[in-house]
Amino acid sequence: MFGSGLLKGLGITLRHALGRPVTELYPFEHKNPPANSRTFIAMHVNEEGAPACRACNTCIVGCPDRVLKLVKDPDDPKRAVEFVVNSGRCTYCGLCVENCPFDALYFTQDYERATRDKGALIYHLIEDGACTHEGEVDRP
Amino acid sequence: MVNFPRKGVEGSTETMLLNVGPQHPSTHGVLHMMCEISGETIVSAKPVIGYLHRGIEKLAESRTWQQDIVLTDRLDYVAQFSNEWAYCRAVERLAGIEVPERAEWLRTLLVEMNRITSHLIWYAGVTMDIGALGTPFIYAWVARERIFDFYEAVTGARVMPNWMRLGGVHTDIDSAMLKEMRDFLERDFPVEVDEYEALLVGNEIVQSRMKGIGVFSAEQLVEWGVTGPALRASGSERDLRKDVPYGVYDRLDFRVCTDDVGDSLARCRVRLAEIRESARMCVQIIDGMPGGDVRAKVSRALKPPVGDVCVRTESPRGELGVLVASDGTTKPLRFRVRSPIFYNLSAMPHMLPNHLLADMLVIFGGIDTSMGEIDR
Amino acid sequence: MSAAMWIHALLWLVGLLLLIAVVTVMGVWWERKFIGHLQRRRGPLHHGFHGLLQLPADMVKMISKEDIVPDSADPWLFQIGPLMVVVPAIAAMAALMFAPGFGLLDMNHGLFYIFAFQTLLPLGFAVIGWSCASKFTLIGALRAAAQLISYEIPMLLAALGVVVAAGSMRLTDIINAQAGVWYIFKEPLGFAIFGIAVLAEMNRTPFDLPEAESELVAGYQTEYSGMKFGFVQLAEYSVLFTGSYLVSALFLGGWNMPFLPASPLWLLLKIVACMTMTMWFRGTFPRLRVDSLMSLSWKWLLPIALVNIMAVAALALALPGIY
Repeated sequence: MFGSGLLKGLGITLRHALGRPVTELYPFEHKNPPANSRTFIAMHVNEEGAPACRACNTCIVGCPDRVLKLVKDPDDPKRAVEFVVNSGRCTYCGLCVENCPFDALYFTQDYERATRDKGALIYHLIEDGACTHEGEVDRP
Repeated sequence: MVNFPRKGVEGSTETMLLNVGPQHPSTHGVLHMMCEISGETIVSAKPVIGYLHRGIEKLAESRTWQQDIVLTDRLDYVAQFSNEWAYCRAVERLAGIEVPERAEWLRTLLVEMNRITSHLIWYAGVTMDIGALGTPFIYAWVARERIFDFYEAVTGARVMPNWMRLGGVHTDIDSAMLKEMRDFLERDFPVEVDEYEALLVGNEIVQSRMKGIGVFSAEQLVEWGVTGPALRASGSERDLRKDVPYGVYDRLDFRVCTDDVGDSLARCRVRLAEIRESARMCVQIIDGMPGGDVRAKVSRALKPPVGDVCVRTESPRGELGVLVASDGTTKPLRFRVRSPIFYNLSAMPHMLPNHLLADMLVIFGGIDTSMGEIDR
Repeated sequence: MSAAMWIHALLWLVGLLLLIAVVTVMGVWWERKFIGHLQRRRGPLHHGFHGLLQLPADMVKMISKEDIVPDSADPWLFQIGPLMVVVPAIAAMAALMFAPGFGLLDMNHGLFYIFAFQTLLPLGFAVIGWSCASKFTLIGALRAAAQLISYEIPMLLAALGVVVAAGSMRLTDIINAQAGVWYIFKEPLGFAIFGIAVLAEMNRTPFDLPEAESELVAGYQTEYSGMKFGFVQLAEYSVLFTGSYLVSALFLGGWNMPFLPASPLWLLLKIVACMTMTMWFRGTFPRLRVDSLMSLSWKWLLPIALVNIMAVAALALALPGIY
């Protein structure tokens, strides 16, 4: 009462002013997200360098926002010719990675793909039956 | 705006219609408050909602039972885990899914941590509203960021966790992480809550602004449908965690935080007490955590039997009810949310008259709105 | 007037304008930095040394912005409003004395002159708020006018106590009278009243109701943008500087320092300390409600100020050597 609370408040703020700031200097200092953090997805490759995807469609059925698109090889139904991610639609719920029975998809830990162009948010994980560069981003 | 009936004040000059919001620094989202004021006294007020309507209830009908969990995160975006849990409990009861013991403990743990972060947002908002230029705001934010780091490490996302699954949770929490949480919540966090208390309820200016402002009795509030901390500040003991225990609340030792005064300051005290109580509960949960599986096997093409189930939970803002109805397919027939804030907000026209414009923000802070859940 | 006097006045005018610019730049920088650290942030960091060039950059931005005049606004009053605030605020600074004999106008009624110009401020705020034809600015302007007028009275009465003790309204005399004991020790009650009232005169937290952003968006300046907004800000910082100067000069001994030779440096230090105090308050306290603001002024400060001035007058008569 009678101003003691005010003085106590002043003391608290002064103590914090003399302490270290807690902010991160984001564009200058990068913070690595935790290992299971949900970011842009990528595809594993097997020993021969072929995509690990078996074109089973589970991820596409499980996706709530119709982000993924898959084109199967007409000759081999277990091989994907094209795998497109429209990350502009994605809510990063992680159901595709969780649902994949072959563990072909993983999160890249890459979260800096902001762009002015909506089209740049669409990227291929598999193109012409082979993993693209985007699909080969390795875990840091 | 034209339909808004002006009551006017007897013996006074003309009243003025003041539109607070939808774009206004202190309406917490996009709430539009139409206030009829005489000088600076509110004669009548009318909240206008719907600016954040995303059609979540309807969207849910076009998605599978599992996919709807993604949507529940977005209902009340500061109490994500509470919404997920309410939905999962409803569907699990409908489909008769058994949840493993450890999963129940983990769920309760994160929901209680969620109660802390949600109340921290309230604290940040209410201090900002009464004009404290964001210093307490940022102090609350720092602690919240710390807890959000836990969320991110556990669930993979900070704000939209999508962590609970039908029949359990997505990822387990390892013992090192649990210890880290326990250390934070038992050692560092209570010290910070002391600071929050000193900067808000200990401050004489705040006391002069909040004491005796917006005094409502428990009977009045029940009549208006108000639940949660706002009701408990008026002396009611109504708390679903005690009344109809779910999760592991029946195995925890906690008290329902109440206050007898029923003014805005009491609502602040109750929420700050709940922050402490939740931190204590989290420590108990971490200590009592059993081992075992965290997720029951549930088919991806889940088809619950025909019927409907309504589940009530105690979200940080009050009683959150979820109704799910199934027609035996992979998609819900109906998904309905009983949002606590909607009912709390609809008491505003009764609460605000005869208060000053500045009191509007104080009373507003007392019910802690989050527009995402009102508009859905 | 002779040519030398004209040149003297002109030089001082340029000097004062430069001072206002420096005060505004450094004041805003220091305020952002200090409040940033109070809030566990770093404050401005990237433009110049620790963000020192942030405000010049902001000024360039403000000048280059489009000058928006709302359709419903009164065009003339809308244009004149900022000038009606900034001119008295700067004019009041003409009487400030920074060292014995070092100042533009060493008037023998300097204190009266400063208060006279500060009294004009509510008129400017009222014009600003009225001309915008917006409800928020109107409420903000009425609040500003009511607040400034009701806090002026206790402020003047508290200052009158100092005048009675010093026997002069000339700032140099008042400060020189404190070469021994500062008036804060002789009139602690007067200092408390003057401090609170000056805080309210400067529209600083916890008395920043006219621009309460959570209630009134930005109060009377809601509709202003570009350099007109800049002018209002300039006026606020000038008032902040003048208020801090008055507290330092009337109660904290001005350029005097115990055991050390008098120097304008002490005055500057005291002014910076006063400004920092207001920023510290701003970073910690919420604001008062409008009715408790009024009752604080009329029911508490005014009677106490009257008691204070009578007590000071009685003491000055009874103990002419000490008081």
